[in-house]
Amino acid sequence: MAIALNKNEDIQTLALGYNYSAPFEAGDLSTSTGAQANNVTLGGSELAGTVVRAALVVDQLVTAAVGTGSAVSDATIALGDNGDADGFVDEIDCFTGDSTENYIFANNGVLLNGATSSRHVVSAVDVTSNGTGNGFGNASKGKFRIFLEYYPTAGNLFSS
Amino acid sequence: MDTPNINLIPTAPKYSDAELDNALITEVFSQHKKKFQAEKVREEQTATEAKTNVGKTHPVLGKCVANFPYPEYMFLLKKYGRETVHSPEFLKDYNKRFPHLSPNRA
Repeated sequence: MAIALNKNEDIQTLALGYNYSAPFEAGDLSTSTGAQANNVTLGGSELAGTVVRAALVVDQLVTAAVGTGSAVSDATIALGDNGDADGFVDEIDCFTGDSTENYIFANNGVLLNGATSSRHVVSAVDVTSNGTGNGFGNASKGKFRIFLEYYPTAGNLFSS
Repeated sequence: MDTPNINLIPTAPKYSDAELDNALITEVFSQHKKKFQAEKVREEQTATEAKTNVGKTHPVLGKCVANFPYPEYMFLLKKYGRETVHSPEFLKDYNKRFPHLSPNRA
């Protein structure tokens, strides 16, 4: 399954420097347990260009309740590319009881943290969900959104 | 023996200055019209998104007081600077001028 980016138009996120965003729910992610990469796309294509900033917001924690299969017992989520799954935003604990709900996590991965690198050329960007007991895709709750400052060099929307 | 004159290169059509001026003016006006049509489409899209933010406050991002079409936002940043565009005075003025792009008051 893919997470489709939209152009940002609201002042809150434009002021933070992000030009693309995508809200998504746990149900939009992989139904398998363990670390699972979920593609982030723009105009139906994998991202190709430069990512300067990236952030992930936990709007709602994943709970044990599921639609199918056994209960979820732990959950983490990260943002990165196909070479480093948490290169943009380090793994965030997002299971019920964790204190990450309504927090924004930005640029703390090694590819964007400013200490080792401040921008990264990408050919694929992924949200990596890691569910224990069951996959995010079967969880009844869990809402997130990602923000990117991204400059494409190819793809369907490159010229628009 | 004389070489026959076969005129391999055709003569380019000739236009008067008035015709050239008219063509240029027509092109400028048509591009201008296209630019405004594209702006109008972007504005309508942004107004639709603004409606979805009315009365909502995000716990992390706060209240959305203005929506901008992205090219126009970049134009404003370039013209007035980041600090001015994000200032409360600027956003209050934006609310007055573009109420359909302002889901909540600044």
